[in-house]
Amino acid sequence: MSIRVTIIEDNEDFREGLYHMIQSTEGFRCVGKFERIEEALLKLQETDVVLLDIGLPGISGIEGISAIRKKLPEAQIVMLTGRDDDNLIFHSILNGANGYLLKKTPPARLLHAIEDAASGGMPMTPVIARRAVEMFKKYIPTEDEHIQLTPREEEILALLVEGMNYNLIAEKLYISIDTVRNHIRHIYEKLHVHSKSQAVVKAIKQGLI
Amino acid sequence: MGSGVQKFLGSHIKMYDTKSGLPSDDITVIYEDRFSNVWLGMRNGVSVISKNNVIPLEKYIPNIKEVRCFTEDSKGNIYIGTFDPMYGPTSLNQILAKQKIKVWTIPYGVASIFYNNENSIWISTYGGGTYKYSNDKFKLFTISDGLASNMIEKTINTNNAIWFLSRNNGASRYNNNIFNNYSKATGLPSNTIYDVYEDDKNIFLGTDEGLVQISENRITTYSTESGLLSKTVWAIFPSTDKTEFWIVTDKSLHKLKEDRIISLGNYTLIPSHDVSINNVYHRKGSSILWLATTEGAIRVDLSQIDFENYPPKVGIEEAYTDTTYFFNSINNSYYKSKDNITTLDYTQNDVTINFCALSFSDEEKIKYIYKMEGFDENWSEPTSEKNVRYRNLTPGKKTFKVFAINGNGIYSTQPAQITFIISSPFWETTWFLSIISIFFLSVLVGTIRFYSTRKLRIKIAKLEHDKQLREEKDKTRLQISRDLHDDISSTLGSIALYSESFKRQYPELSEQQKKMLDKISVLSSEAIDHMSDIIWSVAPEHDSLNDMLIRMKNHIVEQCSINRIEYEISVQEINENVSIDEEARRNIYLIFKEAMNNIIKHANATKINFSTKFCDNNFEMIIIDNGKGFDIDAGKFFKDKSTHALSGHGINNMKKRAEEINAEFTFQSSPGKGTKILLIKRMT
Repeated sequence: MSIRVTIIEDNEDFREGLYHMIQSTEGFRCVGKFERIEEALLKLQETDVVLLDIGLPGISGIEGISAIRKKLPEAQIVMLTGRDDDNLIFHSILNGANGYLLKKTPPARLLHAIEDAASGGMPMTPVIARRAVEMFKKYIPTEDEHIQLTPREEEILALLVEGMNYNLIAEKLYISIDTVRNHIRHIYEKLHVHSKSQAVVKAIKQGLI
Repeated sequence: MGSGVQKFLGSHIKMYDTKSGLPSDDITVIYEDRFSNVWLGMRNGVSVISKNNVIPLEKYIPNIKEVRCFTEDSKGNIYIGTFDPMYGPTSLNQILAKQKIKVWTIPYGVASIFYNNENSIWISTYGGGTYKYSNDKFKLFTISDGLASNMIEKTINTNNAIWFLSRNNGASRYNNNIFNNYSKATGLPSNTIYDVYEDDKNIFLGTDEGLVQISENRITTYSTESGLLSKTVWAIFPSTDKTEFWIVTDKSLHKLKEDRIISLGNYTLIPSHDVSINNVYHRKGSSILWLATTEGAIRVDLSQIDFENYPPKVGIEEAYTDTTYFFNSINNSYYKSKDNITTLDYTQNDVTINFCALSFSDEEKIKYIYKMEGFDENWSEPTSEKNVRYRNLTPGKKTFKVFAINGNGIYSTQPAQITFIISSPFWETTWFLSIISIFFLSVLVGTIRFYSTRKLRIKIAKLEHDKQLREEKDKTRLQISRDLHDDISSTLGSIALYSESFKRQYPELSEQQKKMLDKISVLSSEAIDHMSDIIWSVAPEHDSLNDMLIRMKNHIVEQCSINRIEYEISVQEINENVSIDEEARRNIYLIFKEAMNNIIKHANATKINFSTKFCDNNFEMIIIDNGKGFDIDAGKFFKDKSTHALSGHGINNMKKRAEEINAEFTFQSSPGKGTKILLIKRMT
């Protein structure tokens, strides 16, 4: 089955370039390409992965995440960003994006990443891991146990910050890669939960996150 | 005016009181004997003025108290009548010799005693009638015997008769064993008779309703209508040459000359609250008056007084404002005063002062001059007004002084004066003024400072404003450059996408063709990278050392993942506050990028070691790879003759960049053993 990809990107060159590349690759199919979120929300089709540009005119990419999520609850939303601006990236994650890709990523890797996303979630990059560690440290009240990171999760986050990939982490911790992926999924869930918490919203407002 | 008057003395008026040596000021009765000894009777004893010496006799005759009267027998012996017993006969010498004196117990107490020539003593009691003692026998006379009263308080003899004077029942004239009474019943205006004078033609009676003259059965009364200043006539007696009579009232002195009353001023010699028949004593045939008062004994020599030229005595009677009565001479009381100086509120500056003068001359001719010290500059013109009103007195201490001038132009020897203080309204007081001046001063100082710093503040405000504008400009610029970058990056990125698409669409391409396409991708990728670096380095929020290290780490991770190179990163956590200036940041990062570029593209390395350290203000960066190595001199990678070999420029570039920022750059390489790059930069 082809992986269905939806593209929402306002730069025409990149949008068309992506489209061509996806269409010319076995196993991938572009099911929609849009310039703006408003347009996309009207015409969204069932899709496996949504490639969403962070810097969109009108409703921005970050703002659009939840709207798209509502329409396509199963889809993986991967942010596209020209700059590795940690803030924007982390905010996207908090708002529910499943990962991100730098636009300068070589095309082959781009496709791999899309594949990863479609099949089980994108790997968490050191950047995100670092920000996540920070956020958990500073903005989550320690009284609430069930939304704290477990020690294992903390460990994994720390290793991600170091730059280890999933393989290395699995090796180091003597666990399977799937377990690693699970833990990371949990971390993401907690990030999502916390993104709604008072302290975090406040911190975001203040520009601290 | 009462008490103050007595203090005025001249040669013709003499005063004897406690200051003179008397044991008391309150004199009840005075008597002058033939030796010119003046006997003073008081409640607590007897004193004698002999040859101008005051001799208190208390220690000689301590038992004698409550003296009421004296009388003298034919030998000059003295009898002393007190409230209870009578003492005598005695003399000054005998008393001084402490000789015993006979005591006579008289029922009802002794009010008056009188020695008549026939060796008889008339002893009048308080309500028990009058005894005549002669030949050792007492004979009592009472009302039933024709006596006017059973309480005779004064006994006088005239040429022809003995007069018995009572307080409320008139007088009895005793002659030839017969009492003839004179009272209201017989046509007198009053029953209170203070004094009597009788000659061949007239009988003069001093009563409390004026002077009564009885001649040939005609009764004439001289009262205030006739010119007396008071109806209370204490004494009536002829002048030494008998051409006129002296009339002493409780308020004034008069003369009676040829039926006419002449007023001799208004000198009140006796305070009028004394009521006693014995207040005035004059010895027959002399013009000397003795006055028994509560403030001493006064001797007045009427013949010696130059009435016309006697300096008047002036005194303040009262002083008041419209709300406060602050001096009253009757009680000599001052309202709320300290040392007799009253302090008035500043609203009470409407002050009236009443005064008047005593003199022996005509009262109507008396004039006054006054001055309010602290307000008037000069003395006023003489005026007969006896009061003055000042409105709108200024705050401060004021002393009002006034002199009296009698009809002959004689001034009073001393002025009468009263001192008072009008307090300042609070807005004139020192503390208020100082507070106000401090207030105004501080306002002034504040205003000056405000204006002098105004320029400065305007300048500062402008600078801040400019700064703000600059910052906004910078922000906008940054935003513009970011947007530009994003757009260009996207387009550049699309190049790689297109060339990749092309590869996939045409799988039959040759290897070389594919490589060419890859190259296109790589170049565009590098272009994006460089642009990204520029934008990153310019953004002001990335000025901390940490940010740079993070970016370096990310780059390593990324590139190594792509190129399947193992990596080991050891970056020391640095204090976030350590900042790095733009030039150093750019140069270090570029050196790093250059090194990474070499490794990834040319070194064929399989492992990279990246470590940074920060200690003693030195930043240290080490990049080690296990690649081919580099021959500095040859400027080529060992065993690499490919045209892609990096020329010496790369290393030189790195060296130059290090020099630019005063950093130490070391390059170690040997064939097949990899390369080590060390950079040390001192931070400030």
